[in-house]
Amino acid sequence: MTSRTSTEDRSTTGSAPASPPAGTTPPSASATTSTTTSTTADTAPASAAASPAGVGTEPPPAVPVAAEAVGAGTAGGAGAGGRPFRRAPRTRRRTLAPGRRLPASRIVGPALFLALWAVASAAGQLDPGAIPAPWTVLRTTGDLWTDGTLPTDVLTSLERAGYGFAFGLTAGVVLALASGLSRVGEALIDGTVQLNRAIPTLGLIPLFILWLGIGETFKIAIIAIVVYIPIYLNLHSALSGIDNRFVELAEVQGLSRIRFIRQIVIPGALPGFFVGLRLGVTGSWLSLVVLEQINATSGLGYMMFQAQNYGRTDIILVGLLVYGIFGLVSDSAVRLVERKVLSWRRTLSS
Amino acid sequence: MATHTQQLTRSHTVRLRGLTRSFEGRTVLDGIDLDLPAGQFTALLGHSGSGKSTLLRAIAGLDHDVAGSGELTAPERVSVVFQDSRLLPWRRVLDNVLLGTDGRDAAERGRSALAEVGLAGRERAWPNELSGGEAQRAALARSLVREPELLLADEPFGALDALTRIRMHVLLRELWERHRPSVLLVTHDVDEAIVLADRVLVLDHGRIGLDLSIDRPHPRSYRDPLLGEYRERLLNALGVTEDVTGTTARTGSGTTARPATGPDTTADDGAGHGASAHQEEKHP
Repeated sequence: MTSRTSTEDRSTTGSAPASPPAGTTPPSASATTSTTTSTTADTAPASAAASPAGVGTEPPPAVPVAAEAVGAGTAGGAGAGGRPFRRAPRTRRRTLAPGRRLPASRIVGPALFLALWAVASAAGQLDPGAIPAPWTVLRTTGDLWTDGTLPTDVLTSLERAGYGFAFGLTAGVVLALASGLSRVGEALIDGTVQLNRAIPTLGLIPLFILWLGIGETFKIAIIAIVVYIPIYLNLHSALSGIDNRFVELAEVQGLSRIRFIRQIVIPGALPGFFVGLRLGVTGSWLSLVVLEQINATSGLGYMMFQAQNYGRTDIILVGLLVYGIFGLVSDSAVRLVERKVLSWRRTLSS
Repeated sequence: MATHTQQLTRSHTVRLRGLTRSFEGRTVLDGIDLDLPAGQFTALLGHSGSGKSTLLRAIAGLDHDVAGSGELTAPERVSVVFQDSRLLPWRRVLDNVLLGTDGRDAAERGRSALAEVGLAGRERAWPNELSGGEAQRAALARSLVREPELLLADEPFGALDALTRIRMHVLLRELWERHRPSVLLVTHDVDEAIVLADRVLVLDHGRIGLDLSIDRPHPRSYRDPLLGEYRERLLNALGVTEDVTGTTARTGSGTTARPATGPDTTADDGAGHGASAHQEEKHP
């Protein structure tokens, strides 16, 4: 902006005499030249504010660009009218954006890591007892799969996480709706949940074991609690944070309360809900790992716990691999649904 | 609706008697008596903070927790156009227009309302794909589709650039001529009021300070020298005085009234609005 106005100013003031040839430019002109050739708009206010030094030293407009002279130019480059600044023609500003994304940029890092791991293992640089080679892990995965222990453990773990997540999701949504849409509900529920949130859920494990026994119920209950809290918090704050302008709009348009909730409150709260959902998914895997490694007799965590006793790092790595796949797949699934449901948002980021 | 206001029977006209509103002890509307006949295009001028929005919101029934008293009668079907378009970003344009509208032919009416404001073909667009002017057109369509008896507009063009604003003036006047709702246009732009309205009210210290009928044929131009008289009277009522050179001394706060010494200063529509030209349409 500034650069454009200053150019116009100067052409109308006529304070600059005819441009001398480049070779005969007086000494004081060097600074002015660099100002003229600068392509940065930021230098314009500075040069306008500087003392009127380089009067009558206007260079021809087609001076080659000297980017490194920009800093010097701002110091003493102000001429008559205070604005001897002109953007050099046909120069493009250098972009500050990181530029175009590299192809397959997401898997470059992991692939490199894997390659390093394989090379180091093959070269015998890694202790196979501590870090087994990638192919050992793969072979162990195959062995565990064919002998049936891995599928059983995976199923057990998935079942726990699935039930816990389903209960947590339901509880989170129902409670958030009840407390976000009615003042009575808010009074009854919100404080209680906030209190529950203050207690680290994993700290409830001993109590829950005494109440529910060490079986599946207690595990599912703990996972459900870990899941429902972020879902509740995010959905509730999204529901109660509905833009007052939209409330007014709904009143003006004569919406009933039900329609207001269905057409404005719920859709408006969906972005917040998905934030909570993703946190909930992560939470379900996290609590699953803890529960299975401490108090289980089956499942992936138990498999890894046993492997630890026998020094089988390869089996531990298999367990970590499966956990990683669980997390990756579930998070991608949530993101896929989010993209579908919130398709109106895509236009913002693109 | 403020708690002490008596809601009389619904009628086709707006009738205010002794309407008072105050915020935290500060009286914003001080016993306003006002009648808006059916089908009249009225503009309401005032400094920022003069209570024009408060008055509009009172008529719209949007001032729930505001202390006040008085009698207020308003039509059954009232539409409001806000300064921001207030389109729901998660509904497509047509669904936004149809918000709160029922009936089997609703979609058809929504389409024709969009066509009327020049947005035919954009029914499936998302609001954030629209330019500012297009979004405000969609908001106009949303208010029209309800076939309002009273259209309340709270600085509807305040956020638009000068060229877009002029196009919207023409559009609003056209729509009014076709549908003939009563219009109350709240604005702080004297020229906008003069060009559009048949009656201009100036709100001053919570009261109607000036009630001016403008009997000039439409479409009006900013060039019309006869409008200069009206402009002068309105600026005086707003407490803005002019000297011979056409510079404006502002005695009040926040008015955007501009100098108007004759046809010359306001001849150019774009320059008269003191803003540069922007392209209204956005091509995604």
